[in-house]
Amino acid sequence: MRLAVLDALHERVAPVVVLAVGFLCIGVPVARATGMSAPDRVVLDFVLWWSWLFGTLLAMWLGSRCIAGPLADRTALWELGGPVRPGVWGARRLGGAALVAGSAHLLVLAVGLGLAGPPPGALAFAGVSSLEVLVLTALSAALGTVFRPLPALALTAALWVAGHLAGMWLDLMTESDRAVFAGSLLAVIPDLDLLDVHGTVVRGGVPALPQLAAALGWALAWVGVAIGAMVTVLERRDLG
Amino acid sequence: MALELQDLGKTYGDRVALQSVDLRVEPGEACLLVGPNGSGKSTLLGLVAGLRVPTSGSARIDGLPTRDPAARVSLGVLFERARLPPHHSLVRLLGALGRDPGSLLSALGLAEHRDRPLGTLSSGLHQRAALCLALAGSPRWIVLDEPLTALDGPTSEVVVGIVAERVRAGAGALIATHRHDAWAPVSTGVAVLEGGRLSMGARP
Repeated sequence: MRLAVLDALHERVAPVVVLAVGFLCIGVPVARATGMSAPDRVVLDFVLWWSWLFGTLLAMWLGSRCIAGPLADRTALWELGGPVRPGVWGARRLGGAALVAGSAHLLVLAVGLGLAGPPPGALAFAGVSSLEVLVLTALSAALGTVFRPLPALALTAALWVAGHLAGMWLDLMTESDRAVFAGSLLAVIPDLDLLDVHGTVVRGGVPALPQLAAALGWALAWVGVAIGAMVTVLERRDLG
Repeated sequence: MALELQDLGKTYGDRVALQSVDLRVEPGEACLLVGPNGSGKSTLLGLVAGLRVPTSGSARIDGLPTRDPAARVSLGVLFERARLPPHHSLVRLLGALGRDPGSLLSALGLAEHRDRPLGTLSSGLHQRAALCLALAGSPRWIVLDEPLTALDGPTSEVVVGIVAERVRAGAGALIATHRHDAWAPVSTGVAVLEGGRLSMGARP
């Protein structure tokens, strides 16, 4: 696990975090100055949006690299030739990537909330956005057992976009009497809007406990599916 | 107690890489695996190392399937063209494996490079580091794929000497090589692979 964390950190995480924090430091005063009648809300909106975007992008980058990278460049072999199950190796790599992506996301969020002033729902936002980071890391790692790093990243990014449009798309399909078709597609596209509490927090609210519990259960189910798929593939495919 | 391949076969789609390979290596034996490029040597070693899944037959170490981590506890492997993680040092990787290199670092001329990031090593030093990882902890079974690649003459002799010493001490070795003359001092048998078939074996 320690090596997995070090490998994830080596993916230029530190400079990227510095850049993300720097962007916050520049963006917050700009948002405040252009915030018209509600500068505090505009600043908070910017901080939550930026930390979410940063965390999810980093999660997809690290997740798509953690398995597919060492398999593609053959650096995995020294470890996989030893007494470790490929599935366990994969789970460790995923854990290291998720830990680094989650920590970087929370660090940027903490800095942003420090600049904006933490709202009542800050903790809920941190928890739920971290769940999205975890889901995306797991999905991209699972795709990385089959694809090379860039295709795995592209596919996860496609799922990420589709996942945030899923609710709107389902509404449209339902209106045109295609709810069954849409529902069946949603079984393979994670509806990431379920993890979206942004609006509630920006309006000064705190997400309801049932909503948070549903988000937690939903996210863990997707992570479980992704890890299960990853382990199954790694245990059955040729690795050398 | 043996490294045993029984009726081992491997296909990639329609291409047959290995067909009905039977081979047995006992402790204290060093079997050279020779054959032209593309004859299936690396595929065979990948199966022995548990990285590839056989299409037919079995590969076992001390009675356990090679995919079983318990079998690979006693295995030291060097893969052909494998890269070590470039930003880690040799000492860190040895620590991750929990294997004591003993005198290997000085014997392979790596003592002064032990803390350097592996990506900064020359190809020869990288190969020595990979050999060090494979041989550290005195594994009971040694599986090496083209171990003398990128090594100079004196270092090649040192590597052959280390393996010979391990084999005399009771380890078993399976070594894929194009330089079987260099391994003459340690070899107890030669297996020839041609077109995925073992045409002559140490103990077929």
